[in-house]
Amino acid sequence: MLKLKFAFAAIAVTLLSGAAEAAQPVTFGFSLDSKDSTLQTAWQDYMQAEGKTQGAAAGFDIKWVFNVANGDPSRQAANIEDLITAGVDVIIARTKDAGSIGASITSAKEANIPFITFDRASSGEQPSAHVGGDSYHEAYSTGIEFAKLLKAKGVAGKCILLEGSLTDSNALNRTKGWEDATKEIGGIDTILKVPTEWNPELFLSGLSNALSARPDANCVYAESDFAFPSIQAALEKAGKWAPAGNPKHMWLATADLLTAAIEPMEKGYIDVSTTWDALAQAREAVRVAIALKKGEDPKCSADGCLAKGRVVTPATIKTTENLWSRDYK
Amino acid sequence: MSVQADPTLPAPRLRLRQYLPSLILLVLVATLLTVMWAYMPNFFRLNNIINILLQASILGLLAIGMTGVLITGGIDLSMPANMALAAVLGTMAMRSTGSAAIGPVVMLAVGLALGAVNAVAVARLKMIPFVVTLSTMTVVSGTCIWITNSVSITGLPPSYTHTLLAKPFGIPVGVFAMVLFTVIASFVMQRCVPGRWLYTVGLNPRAARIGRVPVDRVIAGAYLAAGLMAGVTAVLLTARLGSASANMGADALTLDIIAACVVGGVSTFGGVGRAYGAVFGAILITVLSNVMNLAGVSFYVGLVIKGAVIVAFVAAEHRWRH
Repeated sequence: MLKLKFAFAAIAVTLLSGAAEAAQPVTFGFSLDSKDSTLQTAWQDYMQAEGKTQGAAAGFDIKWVFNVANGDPSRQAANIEDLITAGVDVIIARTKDAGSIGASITSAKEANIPFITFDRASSGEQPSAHVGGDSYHEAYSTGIEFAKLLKAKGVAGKCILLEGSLTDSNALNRTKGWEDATKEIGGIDTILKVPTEWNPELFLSGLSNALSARPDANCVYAESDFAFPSIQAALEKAGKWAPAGNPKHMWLATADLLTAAIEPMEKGYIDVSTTWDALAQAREAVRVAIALKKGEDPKCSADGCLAKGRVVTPATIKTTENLWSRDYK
Repeated sequence: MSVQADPTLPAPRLRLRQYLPSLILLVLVATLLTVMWAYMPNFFRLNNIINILLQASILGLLAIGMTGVLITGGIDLSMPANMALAAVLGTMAMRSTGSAAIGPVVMLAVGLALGAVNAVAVARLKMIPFVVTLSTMTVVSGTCIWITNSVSITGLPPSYTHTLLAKPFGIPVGVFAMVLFTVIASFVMQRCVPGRWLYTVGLNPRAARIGRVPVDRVIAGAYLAAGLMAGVTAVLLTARLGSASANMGADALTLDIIAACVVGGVSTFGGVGRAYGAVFGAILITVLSNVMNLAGVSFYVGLVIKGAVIVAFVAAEHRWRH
């Protein structure tokens, strides 16, 4: 009996030590251009959490090294050089400057370290992979949900589209996503397009002018809600700032669901939004980093590995898990 | 035979006072390096040492330019913005002509031109250096964003980057440039009459004027030199980043330049400091950042440590001087 116990103990020790040996220690470096909003903190936290979960599943014990460049491309180049010197296994970098990151990608390639551009792509040298948000899907999923909602309410949508900067690929993707969705489901007619250049002042003046020009408009789609206070001000000025259920309610759909849009959605002013999903992006970045570390193909599309956002409505906003814009304040 | 002391040279005690900060800095860097030797073997890899010197070269070159201005009792807050505009215009010139040679010429010319604007405003129009250079910084930064639309300019001629990113004897061109300009600036400031005038003007402009020192021209020269150094830095940084953008002149860089000078023993009150001291200061600040990155220290803790070291050093230097 004693021999049997020893045998079991020996097997258990062997298994445990085997499991411990299986977790290969790896280091991932994450270089941030700046840390001036809660989004960056959310990315960092989610990446660490995902590193534990996905790392354990892949047999990696992931250690993270984070550095911040304080908005200085020269500092970011230096920080990435430090990551290379420290011998990290994979570098993930969110750049402020699409042009200057190319030199760092070249340095990483020379050192045989896989490089992932995160959130913002490189306009020069191309990295091992790019991970970002799926702008097209954000607008498309919002459009589908919004069109279904209006149909269910028996509303023939006459929408004003608040476009972003016409030179920004994210904005162009969102316009296309919105148009594809509304065409697919029907019931929504985009009666006016207002270019905002991502300028809060133009969100306000553009929407005000549009509401004056087209008083028959009954819905608005904003390609980002970062400037939501401007949208609110324009609706207040037009006497159309009212929550769902009120006859004055302007049907509202947005992209991103950033901090400024959380309260208006909770109170029923915004009907549908799709998140600029920090969690999904962090999850995708870790997945791609692990794949690259293993020497596998991360299987990205031509535009990169793009993380899809989640559709949120007033009914689900309080129960949607890991919503960074609500949780990080 | 008696030997007369050169009246333009500082007294021996003052001279010792001027050298001491640099010596303390050397000891501090040596101590830091010894600690690193023991705890972070990666730090002493040749690659990392060269990496640190390359990183320090940008800050060091700007600090050399700032040293001259600080010695006259002024300040140039516009250096990073000037550097960014010089880089942007130089890169645009290279892109439109396809010539790699035109870039450095335009960058140096733009740096000098912006230095001249500051020089005229401070030396000729007697405007306050802080206000003038802050205004120049604002105007130049705005112009830079307006020209580039906040988009970085890429597509440099390969010969430009290949030449400036070369590593003769394994040492990057940027490091050679830093050493060369440190030697030139130190020689001019210590061995040439116009260099000594800088200290005279900085210590007591009224006395300097009575002593027939061309005060206005000396001050103008310091701002021109700062502009030139911004242009030189633009040439190297553009090659290093492979692009030029308005972001290159980040505000944080201004603080680092001043910190490098102050840590290197250059007085913000004028009259005191050496170019090589400012370069050592730049190296110390770069080493601190590098060490904290290698040690995986949090960004915010890193800022606190960096700030504390700078304040401690300035306090120690101030106490010794007074």
